[in-house]
Amino acid sequence: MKKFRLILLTTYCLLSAVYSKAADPPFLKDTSCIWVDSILKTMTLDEKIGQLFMVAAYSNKDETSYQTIDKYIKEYKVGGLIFFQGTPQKQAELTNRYQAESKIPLWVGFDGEWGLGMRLDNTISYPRQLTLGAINNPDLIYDMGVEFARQMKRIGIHINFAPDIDVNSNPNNPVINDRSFGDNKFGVVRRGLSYMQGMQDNKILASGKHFPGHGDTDVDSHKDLPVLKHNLERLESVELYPFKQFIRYGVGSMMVSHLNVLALDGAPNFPATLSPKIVQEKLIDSMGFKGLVFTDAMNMKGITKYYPSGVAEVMAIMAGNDVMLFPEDVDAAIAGVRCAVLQDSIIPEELINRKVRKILAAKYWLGLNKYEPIKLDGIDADINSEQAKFLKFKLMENAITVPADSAHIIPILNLQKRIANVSIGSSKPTTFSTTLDKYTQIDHFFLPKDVSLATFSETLAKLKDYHLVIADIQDMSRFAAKNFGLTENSISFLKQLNKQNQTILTVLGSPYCLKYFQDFNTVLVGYNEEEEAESIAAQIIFGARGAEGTMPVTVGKFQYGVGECTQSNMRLKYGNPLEVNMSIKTLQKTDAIIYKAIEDKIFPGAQLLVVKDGNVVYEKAYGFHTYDNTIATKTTDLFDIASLTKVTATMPIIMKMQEQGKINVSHTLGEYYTYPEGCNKKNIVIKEMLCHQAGLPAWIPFYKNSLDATGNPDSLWYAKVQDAVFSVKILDSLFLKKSFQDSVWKMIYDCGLSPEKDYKYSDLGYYLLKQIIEKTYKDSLQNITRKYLYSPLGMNYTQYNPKWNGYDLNKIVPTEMEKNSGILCCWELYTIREQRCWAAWQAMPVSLPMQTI
Amino acid sequence: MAGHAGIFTNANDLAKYFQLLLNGGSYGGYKYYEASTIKNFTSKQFPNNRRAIGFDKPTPAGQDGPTCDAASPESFGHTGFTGTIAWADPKNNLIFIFLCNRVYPSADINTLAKQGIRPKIQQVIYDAIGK
Repeated sequence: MKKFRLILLTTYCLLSAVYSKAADPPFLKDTSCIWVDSILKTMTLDEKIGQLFMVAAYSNKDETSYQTIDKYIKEYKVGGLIFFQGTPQKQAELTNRYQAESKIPLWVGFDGEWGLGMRLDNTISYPRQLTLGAINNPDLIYDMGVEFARQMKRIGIHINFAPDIDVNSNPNNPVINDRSFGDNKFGVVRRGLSYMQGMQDNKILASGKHFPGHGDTDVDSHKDLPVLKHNLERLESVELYPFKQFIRYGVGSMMVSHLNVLALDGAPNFPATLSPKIVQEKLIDSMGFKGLVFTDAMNMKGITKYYPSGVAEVMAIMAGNDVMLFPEDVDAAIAGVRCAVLQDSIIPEELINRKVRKILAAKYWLGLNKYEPIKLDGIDADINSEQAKFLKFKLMENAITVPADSAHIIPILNLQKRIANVSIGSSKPTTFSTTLDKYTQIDHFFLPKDVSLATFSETLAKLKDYHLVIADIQDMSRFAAKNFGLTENSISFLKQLNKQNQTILTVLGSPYCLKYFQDFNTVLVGYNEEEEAESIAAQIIFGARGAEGTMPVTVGKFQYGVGECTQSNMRLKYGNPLEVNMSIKTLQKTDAIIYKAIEDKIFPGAQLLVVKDGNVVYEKAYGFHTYDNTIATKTTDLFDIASLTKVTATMPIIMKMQEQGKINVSHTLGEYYTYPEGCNKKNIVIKEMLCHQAGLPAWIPFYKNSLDATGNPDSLWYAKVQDAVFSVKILDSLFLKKSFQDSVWKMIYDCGLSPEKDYKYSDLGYYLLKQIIEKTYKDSLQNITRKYLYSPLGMNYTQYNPKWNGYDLNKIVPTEMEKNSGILCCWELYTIREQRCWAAWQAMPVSLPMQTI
Repeated sequence: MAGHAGIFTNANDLAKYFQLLLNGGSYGGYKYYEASTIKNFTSKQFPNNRRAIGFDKPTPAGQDGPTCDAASPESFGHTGFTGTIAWADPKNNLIFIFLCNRVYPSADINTLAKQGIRPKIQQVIYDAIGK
């Protein structure tokens, strides 16, 4: 079933060519359109200079800060805004306000590498690009680009400064790291193009960044100016490769970063952003880029450490950039550029005109010639649609990677093994641990980061006897400098564990941490701790889903492009209704019916579960155990399932017996059991009995014979203390005489059969079948079902008499309140009578357990 | 321990067993039954009797029964006195499990059955398919 997957680099080249057609930036054809000409003609120099700037805007600040933006628009005529933190609603409101103030419609930029969630509250964060780097379905990444465009357009954004197409060849990179698709240039291009095209096909301008390549830096350009020392040959081959491909396939814009790239411009402390050699000569003249060139934020230390506002912006324009993002000092920047044009003639107005023409063409392509204010109603619901959430799920599902499983442990086949889960970095159950629990009985050990060395040793000793240990790492850091959040003790614990036990290592964070776990043979990378990733990782381990991802980076023996295809569809999935084409909104209507029933006191608590195509798409617990609302019902709580027992316990065994030739349901009971002389049961055809047409009475009130004249338990049959004679436990302090069972069987054997054989629901047949089953297998029905069905299927909750097995009462949903010698004991478990027997039952003063008979 | 009642469990556990039945006898990499056995036991056997062998079946549309009208004739399952139902529909590859404790604190009035709450919930689930 297993196959190893190593995708050849050449395949990547071919694929990226298949998916893309060479193209110009999409707006290039609009540079001479009438709208652009007519606007340009009427513009003052100040208006033109304003178009070259995008100032930083926030939607989580105070009115004073919003008024500052008002001023930039009204006084400086800035052409665009780049929005940072806040909320989508407020950002949309502010965008409408600012647009109304601007003569030429503003364009709005946004840093949304992983969607709106990168900056805005109440929005979806999609997987980071490193996670996307594990996905081998380019259509899915294209779909993500399409979805980003939909969400961004909904709140008035025009440019997404993404994707990041840096090749992250330095695992210690402090700033790019998981923002990159990985360390393979072909992988970066293939995924980057899909992302870019998904957006640009839907009129959101993409931006390839950070030119000329920020992947091999060990300094964060937000904090200082990183220096890139590679020679030209290497730059051409690695760093520049994705940018060349992006130019070829028509990316609309590029973002130049604050990097000192010595092979391209040897001047010391000279960022690429300000370098004519890098922007004009390399990017535009040599590589032939015709789109828009944005600077990275001009307030970053990589610039401001050496060049003040006003000077830096002039240099940036002269270097070849079209638009400057986020000047540190807007007043100084605008004044500086104005001065450079008017007084010093450093910048020719014609140069400004060319840039503005390109900017207006892009605005025209973005539809800003027909600007409409954003509709403010329903923003949250629109951007966080069910489809939008489902896309995140799909991306995660396609990314999760099993880089190695040489012992073929995944998926776990035998559930009768002793399995433990040890969770590093978590003190309480996680989505991962609770999803594991859905499949079988697992013992959990939680080891928060700060546990002592002694606790690690004790845990190691406790784990010794387990057949298999699933270790997961939680609460990780993204950064190599922080050892990915791992302590030395936890690394050493995991290594010892791997030597001691068969271990599945599940990394819910950076794949780079695998550098510590080179000796592990079974590894799963979940990339992050999002609920979806944790759930899917557990589902892969149990074979509900197959691992689809491949390593986005090489970490020692775990090579780029490698990932095992593990088996899928082996057990129940836990997924999204949209996976099976079901409506979440319609399914949610079940809630209203159930909550109404609880309100009407039809029942206090319930569980609902829906499986479609092997996928549990709806699973919920409702209400409380009792009407006093003390214990909330959980999805794991036990319910007394009454007659569902017939098809869950007896029938699976009868079906097996039929297959094994131990029974033939077309034959009579008498062929399989010796009944007392003259007993009419021997002639019953089993199939007729199981279809409730064997003529059996609905039921027999066995307990009647065990009560005294006043209707209380007769001391002839009952005792308060258990002994050899009164051995059958009914309640905690009520024991039935063993021989009563003989009298029960006598009642069953003796009861008459209706000659008509009409349909009449009866429990009695199941007494007779249980006798045959237990005689055939020489074991109790309870043991047989456990051994042959429940345990191998992972149905570890399913049992008779959980209370007597020591099960926590708070996890059993109670049925009837029971009167016993005047004491109300609602927890006692007694048998279930079918509805039709209820009237007869009600006439009796005392209810007694029947299942013990 | 009885064959007709007495099991305690939760919806998730029951789902595994009913998926095994829908899968034609396989689950978790193991084969428990021949598909033909399950088909035989879950099929209607006699005229004028809706039941299969041990398993319950839907009534014809419009008649009171354990399921909603949308449940296919191929579907099967069982209900329980405590207010439970588990129903598998091979035609729609669908399992519906609803467990409640309607018999708390007493089982006197079966409003759950009278109002047809289980079939109502089941109908909503069928309504959600293909939308």
